[in-house]
Parts: sequence; structure tokens; C-alpha cells
Amino acid sequence: MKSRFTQGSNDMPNNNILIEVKELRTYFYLTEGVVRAVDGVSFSLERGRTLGVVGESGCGKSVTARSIMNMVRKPGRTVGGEVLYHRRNGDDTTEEIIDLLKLEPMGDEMRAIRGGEFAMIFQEPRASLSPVHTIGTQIVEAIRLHRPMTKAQAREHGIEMLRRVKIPRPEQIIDAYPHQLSGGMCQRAMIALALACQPALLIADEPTTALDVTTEAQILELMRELQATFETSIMYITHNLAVVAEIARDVMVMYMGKDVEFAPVDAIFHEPKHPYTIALLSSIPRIDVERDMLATMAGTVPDPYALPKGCPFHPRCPSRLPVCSQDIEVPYVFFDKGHRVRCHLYTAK
Amino acid sequence: MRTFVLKRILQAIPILFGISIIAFAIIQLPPGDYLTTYVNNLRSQGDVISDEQVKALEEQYGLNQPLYLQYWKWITNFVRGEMGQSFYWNKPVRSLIGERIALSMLVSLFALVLTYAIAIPIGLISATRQYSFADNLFTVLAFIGVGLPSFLVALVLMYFGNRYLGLSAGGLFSIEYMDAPWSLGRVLDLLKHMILPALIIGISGTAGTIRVMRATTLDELSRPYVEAARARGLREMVAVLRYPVRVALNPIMSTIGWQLPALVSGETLVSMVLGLPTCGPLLYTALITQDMYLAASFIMILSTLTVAGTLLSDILLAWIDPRIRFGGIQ
Repeated sequence: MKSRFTQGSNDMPNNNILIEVKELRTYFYLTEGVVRAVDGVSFSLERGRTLGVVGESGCGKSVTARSIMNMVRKPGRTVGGEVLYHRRNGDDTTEEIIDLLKLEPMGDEMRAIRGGEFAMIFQEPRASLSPVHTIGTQIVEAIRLHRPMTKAQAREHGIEMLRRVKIPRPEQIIDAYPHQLSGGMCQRAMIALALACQPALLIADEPTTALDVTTEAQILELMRELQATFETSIMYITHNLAVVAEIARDVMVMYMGKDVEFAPVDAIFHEPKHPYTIALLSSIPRIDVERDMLATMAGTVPDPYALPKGCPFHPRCPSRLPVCSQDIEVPYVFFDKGHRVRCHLYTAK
Repeated sequence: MRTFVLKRILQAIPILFGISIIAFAIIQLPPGDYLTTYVNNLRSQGDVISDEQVKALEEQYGLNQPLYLQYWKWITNFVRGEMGQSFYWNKPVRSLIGERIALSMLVSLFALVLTYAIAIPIGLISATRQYSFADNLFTVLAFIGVGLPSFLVALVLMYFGNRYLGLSAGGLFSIEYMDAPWSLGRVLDLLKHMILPALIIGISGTAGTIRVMRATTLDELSRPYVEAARARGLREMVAVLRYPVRVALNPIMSTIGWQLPALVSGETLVSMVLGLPTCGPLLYTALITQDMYLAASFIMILSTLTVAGTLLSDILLAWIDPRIRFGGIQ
């Protein structure tokens, strides 16, 4: 039986799912209390498509990503839900479904998927590369971990990958150390490293946040091109709505560990439903609307140790209802084209 | 890399020159010299020594010459390996220092190897299992190790080692091998005697190194490149050993060179307590008795080793850390 979460943003029957995340819960057990970093998140991602995950710092975007990679570390733990990976064999004829959360996190099977089938790039490209090893050492290591290649073959392949990410003089750069390259070049190298084994999924955790705007535009352009070539699905995590508009086809908005809204990118920008999404969008400066003061969101992000009961957004919500502060899970409300929202405003209808 | 090494070596020469002047000045600083002490001693024992005799002695040792001449004579001889005469022992300094330096280095080297062999794995375990029982235990032990004065440890271990384990209580040789020529038996005897001193000398260093290793590894473990290595699918052990540990070893590698002077003079107190025929006690008596050539030679040797050690550290660090090696180019 197909869940309603597996609906994509078009109306075609959906048999192209790559991963399905159901009711994911990842908590951090700290001495100060339990932080519910991810508290019931469900979504699915199709092959070859890009999902943008938006939200402010601490909303659980990165933890969601690490939960999918099954690499949440202590004191964090994935306490509930499923991450279903629809794994296909080489010629796309058969498909098996694996619940990644059931695999041993550091076991052989999970490690083969991690890096081989799911790859990840990070926020600080230079810090994500070892400062005392060359780019080449790290790429060759990644390739040989997942592909039966000799050192020389892996190096050849590494140079080819560096060329694909448009690094100039790849034969020389492969022997460079991270500190000899610019941030943008390091992120290109990270992308080359991530895509070297042709993963089915690329998780990009704010890959351009630390880069300047021009470099960001180049990296986004590059990722779009590579996605077309490699048919990789991308989960793109960012707090920047402009970047989402640029790269994503579907968008998931997160707030305090909850997936408050999920919609095709056009719907998010033109028909946002959740008051949080609406507030986020109205706080972006626009060139075509004259405004004296930029709109800001009322209130502050709640204390993660003491989340408000009911909808976590209700203390800041301009359209809150009495029901919002009651201690019940906010239900999903589904619209057409896969648009869904978790808000009591729409359950009344 | 080659220019880096060459530059560093050239920089070391004026430093050594400066040190030699300071070493010589320090020797001259206290009022009087060895001869005065010597003559006073003789006179207080009732010997009659005329002023002419004193003058003749001064002449003989060159003590009546101006300071810069004394310095020049000393340093040129020193460079050629002639370190002068020890007044106190009435022997050439070189023959006095010779075997002691070898023994000192042997004991200290033994202690150093022991230190790293124990400290690095323990520091690593402490860091990767932070706040576990093992970590807490090692932390307590390390603090005790750092806090206890080593001569006290020496006394206690000497007592228990001798009482319950039958280990020798002092010296580096048994009586029958004391002045015997080198033989297999003498080497074995030396090794047997060395375990305790090496352990004692190594204790505070081990404790300190555990803390350093733990702290630097903890620092590195939380870096994004470690997570990136895990995200690549590496085994946890491999990811930790190949990346953060490799980086965390840098500060330890870079201080190896500084151990050079400590290899010679290290743990004077422990050597005195244990009666080791090493350099520490000799330097100590040389300073007490104003035995100027012996003391100056020691200070010069130790300073040279410090400079050489720092040089070695710099080169090692540049070799293992590309950020330093290429620092000048960027």
C-alpha cells in the first residue's frame, strides 16, 4: 500500500522513489535534558530530483540528513521511524527496499551504502578535507573503498572527476593540499569526491553557506549540471530560500524538528500555507515591492529543552487558534500536487 | 623544503654564538673562581701557599688574561673538542663527560620510548571514550603522575622494587660489572638496572603526554573532516587513526626535538637519588664547586642540543604538516 507521503509533486503514478522517510525521530540525550532535534518527519525523494530542506539553525535539517546516512552519533540517537532505501540493481530491473535504520550504523552493509550509494558534502569545504592529506589521497581512498580499482586507476578516475567539477589543471590539483585551494575549489573537490562512486543520493548540507555569492552561484550551476549527467538525487539543506528557488523541485520547511510544510517549489513561493513559511517568505527583501521595513518574525526560537506543547510554532504564530497550544500532534493536511502542511488552520475546513 | 632546512641551519649559527657568550658570562658571574676556592681550601687546611704560587697557577690556567681572551681560547678549543680541564676532578672534561653522556642518553631514550609507547595509546583511548570509566581512571592516574615529584616516586619505587621484586636499588651496574669492560653480561646487567630509572623518569612525561594526546585528539575528533571521512564509509577505527590521530600527533612530534637536552641532563634529582652515573649529578657538582670549564662545557652542550632539537622539531613538523611546509609559499 502506498503512503500519501510518497506522492511527488506531479500527478504521475509514483514508482520512482529513491528514499522514503517515515516518522523519523532523532533525539539527543544531554545532561540538560532531551532535545528532540527531529521529531516526526516524513517525506520521500524521487530519483534524479532535488529536495530543498529549509529552516533556521537548529531546526533539525542537518540531523535529518545524518539520520538518513545512519551516522547520528552519541549523545544523539534515532529513536523511531524508518528510512526506506529503494535500492536498484545495475540495470534497473529489480528493486529491494532496505530500512537503513535497521542496519548496524558502522557495519559493513551500512558503510557500503554510505559513501558508495549515498554521499554527503558539508558546510565548510576546507575543514571537511583533512589538512594533512592531499586531495588525491582522500579521493583515491573514497574510490577504492567502494570500487575495485588499483591505486593508479583510482587516481585516473579522481583526476577525471576533478575535471568534471571544472577544477583547472586537475593533474596538478590532485596533489594539492586543502589549504592551497580556495573555499570554492575545496567544495568542488568535495563534490568530485562525493560523486566519484556515482551515488544515487547526494546530501548537501549547506554546501555554499561559507562561500561568497559568486562562488555559490557557480557551485549551484555545477551541481545542476552534474545532476543532469549523473542522475543523482539531491537533498539540499539550506537556510537560504533564494538558493532553494534556484535548485530545488520540492521543498520541505522544517521548524523545531517538525516538517511543517512540504510542496513543489512553485507552491512554496506562490501559495505558502503554513504561517511559518509565510513569515519566512515575507522576511526576504524583494526588489519588486517597495517596503520601508523588512518584515520580521515575532518572538524568538523556543528553548530546545522546553518546546511549547502542541504546535511548536504557536507562541510566535500570528494566526494561532486555541487548539494550537493543546498537547496533540498537529495532523497533516494534504492539498493537490503533493502539497501538505501541518497546521490546525486547515483542519477546520 | 631544502631551502627551509638550509635557512633554519644558518639561523642556528648566530644563536649558538650568542649562547656561548652567555654561557661563558654565566660561568664568570659568581664572585671568585675555582682557583680562589681551591687556594682557600688549601690555606684553611694549614698549607702555606705564597702569592707567587697563586700567580703561577693563574698563569697556568690562563685566569689572569682579559675575559675576551679567556672566552676566545675556551670557545675555539671547545669547537675542536678540547673542553679544557676540570679543576675539581683534575681530569680533562671530555673524558669526564664522555661515558656519562652515553649512559644518560641511553636511560633517557629508554624512558622516552616508554613514555610514548604508554602515553599515546592511553591518550587515544581516553579521547575516543571521553568520560568513560577508563578515561576517568587514566585522568586520575595522569594527574597523580604529573603531581608527584619524581624523586619521591624514585624513593618509593626503589624501596618496593628492591623489597618485593628484587630489583637493584641504585646505580646502573652491579658491583662486579662496575668497572668491567663491555661484554654481553654487562649490557644485560645495564638493562636490568635501567628499567626502574626509565620508569621513574618517564612517569611525569607519560602523564603529561597522555593529557596532551587526549586534548589534541578530542579537538580533532570534532572536526568536520572526521565526519566527512565517516560519510565516505570508512571504518570507525580507520577514520579515527588515519585522520584526527594523524593530526593530533603533530604537537607530540614537534616536541620530540626538545627532548634532546633533557636526554642528557634530565632528572638530575632522580639520578642523584638512584645513584646513576649520568650527567645530571656531575653538572650539579660542577656548578656548586665553580668548576668552570666543566660547567661551561655542560651548558654549551645542553644549549647546542636545545638549538639542534628545536631545529629537528621544526624540520619534523614541516615534514609531517604540509601547512607549515608550504607556509612560506602562499
